[in-house]
Amino acid sequence: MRLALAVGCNTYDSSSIPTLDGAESDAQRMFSALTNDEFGGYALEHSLLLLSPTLSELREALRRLLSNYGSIDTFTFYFAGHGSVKAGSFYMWGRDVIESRLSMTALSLGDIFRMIAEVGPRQTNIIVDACEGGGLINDLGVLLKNETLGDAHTPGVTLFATAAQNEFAMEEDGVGRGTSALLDCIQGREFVQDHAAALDLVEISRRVSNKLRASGQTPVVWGLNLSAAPRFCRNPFYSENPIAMQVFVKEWSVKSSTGLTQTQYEALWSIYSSIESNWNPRSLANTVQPIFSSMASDPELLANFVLRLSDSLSQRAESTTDRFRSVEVGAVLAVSLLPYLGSAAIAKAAQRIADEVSTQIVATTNVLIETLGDDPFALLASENAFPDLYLLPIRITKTLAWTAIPVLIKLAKESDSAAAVAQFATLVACLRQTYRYSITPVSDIQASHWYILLSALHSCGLSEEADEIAGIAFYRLVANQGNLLRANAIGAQIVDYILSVDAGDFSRVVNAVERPNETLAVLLRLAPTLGLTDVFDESLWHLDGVSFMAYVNPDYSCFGDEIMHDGENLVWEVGYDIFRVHELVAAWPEITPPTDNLVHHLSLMAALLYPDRVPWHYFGR
Amino acid sequence: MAKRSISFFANPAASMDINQALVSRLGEIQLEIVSARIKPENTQSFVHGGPLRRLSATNYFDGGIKKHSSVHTVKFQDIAEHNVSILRLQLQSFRETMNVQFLQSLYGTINDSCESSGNVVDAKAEGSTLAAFEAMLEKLEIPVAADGTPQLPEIHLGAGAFEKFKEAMDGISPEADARIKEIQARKIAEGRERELRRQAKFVRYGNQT
Repeated sequence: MRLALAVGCNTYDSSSIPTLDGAESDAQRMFSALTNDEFGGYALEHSLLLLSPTLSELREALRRLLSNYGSIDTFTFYFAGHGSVKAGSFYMWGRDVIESRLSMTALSLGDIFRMIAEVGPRQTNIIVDACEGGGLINDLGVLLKNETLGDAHTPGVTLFATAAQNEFAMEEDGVGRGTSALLDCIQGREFVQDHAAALDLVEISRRVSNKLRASGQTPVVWGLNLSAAPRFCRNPFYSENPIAMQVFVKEWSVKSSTGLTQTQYEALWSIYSSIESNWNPRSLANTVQPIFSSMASDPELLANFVLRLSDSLSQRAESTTDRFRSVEVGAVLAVSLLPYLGSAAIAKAAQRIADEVSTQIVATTNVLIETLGDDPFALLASENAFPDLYLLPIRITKTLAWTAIPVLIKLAKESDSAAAVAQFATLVACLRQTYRYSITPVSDIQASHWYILLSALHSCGLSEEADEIAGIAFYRLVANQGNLLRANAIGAQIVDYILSVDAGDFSRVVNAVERPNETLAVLLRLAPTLGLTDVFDESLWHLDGVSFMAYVNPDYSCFGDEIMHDGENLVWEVGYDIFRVHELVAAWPEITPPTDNLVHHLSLMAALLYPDRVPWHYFGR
Repeated sequence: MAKRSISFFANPAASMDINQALVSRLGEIQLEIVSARIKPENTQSFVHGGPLRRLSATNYFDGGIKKHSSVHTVKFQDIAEHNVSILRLQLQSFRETMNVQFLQSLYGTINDSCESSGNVVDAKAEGSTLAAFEAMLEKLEIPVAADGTPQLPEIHLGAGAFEKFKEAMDGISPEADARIKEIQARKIAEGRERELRRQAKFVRYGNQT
């Protein structure tokens, strides 16, 4: 059963509350669209439209809808009217609201969540087109409790508010802008996507958000759809075998039983909640990889599930302050599909996510270039300067390596790469101008950064830049006697390392240094390509006794795993195995590159997400 | 600097971790500075504000709370250019600044305490360094440990005063030397008597029956 409750409140008993013009008509329009089988496919005979209701009428409607019809597949609640935030809760105002008594006279989001938690629709969509609608995020404390968060009976909740907490929802010609933008997507006046038969509220919300931001409103989107199928409305742009929404949902009701355990639900919600504050790509990978594995026997299910998850997590990541967060989130999901690319459906989903990641990188690179134009020091942390003596070099090489990905992809596809190369070259020039000496090795987690960055510079014909960057990196490595920090170095070790670099004495950090390191292998391996063999040979004696390594694994399907098996840890020592660059080149093993472009691209992303693997196969291509 | 609205691969957790390690490092430096002048076992710490009172002492001196601070400016340019020396220089500057402030506080407080109790010797009025030293010995008490071991006082002198003191002690007459030794022995004996009286206030003291 798909049920909708649309509420619009124009008139209020209190004379101090201004009357609205368009709330009722917005609710009517939304109700019509949702209950139209061509668009929403919600059950017309059971769904409800309330115009300027009292609080008790609202509560009674919710009670009736959520109690009378057994199992609910999708429940969509729409509210247009006045709303406000008080004491950490968001309240929707009915006709008989008393402004000074909101907890008793208005409907809080918490009330709705408590009802939903008891009934457990497979997917719940909540849309609020009201002033301060973004304040509904304040009520998420109710949702985030264990008994409701990730409850196996509440697999998906999506909230969309057309205005942020401190904003007014705008009306234009008597209709709400937010509602109109939503209806444009539902009724096909605005393109969202054409690859799935149905649309999810998260993906529509992303589209609407972009539109509303242009007009000064900052919508809030929050939520996860943890079923494998979008459930909000039919996709008017899906031309392949179009079916009615109700039929689609019926067909998918069995298919989309993802079989997630309570622990998995909770882990996904936990990841979703911590994308802003406590982001760790490995945590997301370790959460989704077992889920993907359990769904792998049904490729179509897995493909749809990962696309839903990608929409939700990417949207969440886009709302964070870190412009690269959504890039990493998407990349983790795509890379986690590496073991299952034998399925066409999964490969298609992985390709779609990888393409979105590339698009995001290009957009973020533009933002970064513009930001650096306004503030050359924009890459510095705004607080705590000293940590950046260690973190900034990593941030810069990581940024350069990620921004090289679209370039490498375009070059590999032999498609028009001029624009991508130009953008990359501009960023490299910007960063060299301000941060030339911060493009330096401090940790072995930069090994892949150097490999991808230098490969891209060379492939783009930016030889001068490649020579300078590789030269400075090697010179600094020599100056530091080959000492680079391990990935898991802690704060005190990092402080000691900075002081050690200054003093040229690393005796205080012997336990924090990576041995063998992979950075030296990268620089020596690339030296002939960059024409730096003689330069490096001349100084190699300074690194006498330094050991370095390369991990090589011909099975690329495991390139996203936390620990890879069945590969080889190749180890060399300067002054024992290697005295000159050409000896390393001669000893270098034959590495068979992946034949599939997608595998190749995903392995590049994996190497940037997880700092203990280098995509050595790149030069084999 | 205002917090930026957007960031690129920010790592606030790592930044905080490193910053906390730096704060710990500053704490260690401060502890070294204090420990160099005051034995750790003679150092007490208090969490809350308010005057110090020792209810049994009628003339207990409260030097009040003195704040020590060190402000450092880091240029963006130095961070952007990966100038790692700035960390060492800043730590060095912190050590020097805090050391100066601590010494000023320490000797200022001792001076105020002595002034308030009248426990002051005027070297000029005494006529000579040696006479002043004798007068100082007469004024102080030598504490004695529970086992009777005397804890002789430390003498803190500036460079000029130290030279004068050394010169006076090198040229000390046998009579003056005998007087000083007599004062020292008397003070130790007084200290032992004081310690025995203190121990006698317990119901019993020590393990011997």
